Amino acid sequence: MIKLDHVSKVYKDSVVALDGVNVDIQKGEFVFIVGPSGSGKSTLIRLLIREEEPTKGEIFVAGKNIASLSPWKVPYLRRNVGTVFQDFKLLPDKTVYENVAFALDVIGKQKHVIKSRVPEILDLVGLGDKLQHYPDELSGGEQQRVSIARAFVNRPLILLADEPTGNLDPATSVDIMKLLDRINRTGTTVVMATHDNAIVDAMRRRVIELTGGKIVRDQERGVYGYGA
Amino acid sequence: MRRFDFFLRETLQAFRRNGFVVFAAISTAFIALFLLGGAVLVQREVNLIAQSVEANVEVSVFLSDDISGAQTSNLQNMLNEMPQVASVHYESKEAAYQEFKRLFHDQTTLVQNVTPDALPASFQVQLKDPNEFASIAQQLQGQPGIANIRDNAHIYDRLLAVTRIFRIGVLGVAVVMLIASAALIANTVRMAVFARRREIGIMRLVGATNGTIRTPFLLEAVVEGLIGAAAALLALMIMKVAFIDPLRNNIAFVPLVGSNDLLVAGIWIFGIAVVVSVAGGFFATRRYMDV
Repeated sequence: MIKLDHVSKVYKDSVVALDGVNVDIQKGEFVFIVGPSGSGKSTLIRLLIREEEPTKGEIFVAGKNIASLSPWKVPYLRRNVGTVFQDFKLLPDKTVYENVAFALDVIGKQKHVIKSRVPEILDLVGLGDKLQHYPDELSGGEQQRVSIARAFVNRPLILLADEPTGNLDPATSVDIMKLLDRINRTGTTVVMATHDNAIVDAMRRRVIELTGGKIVRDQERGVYGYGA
Repeated sequence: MRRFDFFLRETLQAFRRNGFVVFAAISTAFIALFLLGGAVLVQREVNLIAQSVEANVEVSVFLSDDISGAQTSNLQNMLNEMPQVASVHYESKEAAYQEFKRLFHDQTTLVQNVTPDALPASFQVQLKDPNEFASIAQQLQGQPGIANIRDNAHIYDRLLAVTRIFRIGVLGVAVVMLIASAALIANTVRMAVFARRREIGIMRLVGATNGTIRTPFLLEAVVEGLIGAAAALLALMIMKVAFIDPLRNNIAFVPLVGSNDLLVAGIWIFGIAVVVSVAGGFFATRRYMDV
């Protein structure tokens, strides 16, 4: 589903974010990307949605080489890859329902599709009773659920999460992880960048550890770190 | 493609948000397009006058009404034999009247009051060199049956010279104003883009195409341009009704621009408005479209 082949990313000021990274992620896997700040986790996520292009190497997402993808095809790649961020990225002047509907509306989905799918997905994330609330009326955990609903409403093949629990307390984080686990069980590949060791240790899923832009560990059913 | 009401809603919202800047952009577009339309009308007026003085015929020799047949053929022979003359064409009173009716078709009172008899017959003479007029005039001087000799080429030249500065000046100002209005429209679009940068970020994230992201902004630009264009055309129409139409029955023998010419000016105004506003909108959204 995702394959990185000797991928390097060097920024203009010659900062090396990724250095010869090889990763192979199968369909339906749940993968943690761990490592200290600046180790290249976010760069990896940004490369997977072609927010940035690699300096060297090839990246395959859902069978397509996205390093050489022409710009007009990028939106269609992103429709297959849902993204969730630490800061939720919700629109404050839109309700929960409108925030999720927006994602379908702007990719040209029909009204009746939006009307049936949005309440359905919001039920799935446990917000079926808060459709008409605005983001600032919700807790952090609830806001992140909206953001996950928005990322998942178009049934992407892959869900990328960049520090999704970074702004949440441990109990709420556990709920979010349960939700991501449920999404993963529907067959969606989930890749989550995090430095929340408690979560990684509890989940016991594949762990890829980056340090200084290099993979230093790639372990099935791993924990956050040897020292943890 | 996405529903039209979505784009319209976004556009109206942008207008409400930046009312003053939008007003400035529309006013500038209005002035620029008004000047452009004015320049088009002046150009067409010059062409009309040029047609009425038969600029392609350099010399008109008008004949007096009491000229005899012999005198007419005598004059024709004389003209034909002049080495400076390229061609000679005889225009009867009836032919002159038909031409008159064609040129002044929109001045009905004038046409009604002029009979074929009122217009002189003439020889329309083309010269090998338009500057030979003086020598021709001298040779014809004193010949019986000539009422008047007119140097059309020089009338046309003077007309062009007088209006050239005006036309170039107005067009120049119009072009500068058009660039300014493109910049101001771009500015309003940039403000709208800035106000909606969160939405744009999310749209890109969930896979909206550039077209979908850009269309509301381009629409906003075009609507601004078209409002300016409509105002400019309206102003030109008011000018025509208030100033040109009253002249129509006061200044005889000068053809004036009419509704047809206004239509042509309108096509120019709206065409240029779309080009300018799309250019401004494109420029303003370009740097947000990099994926």
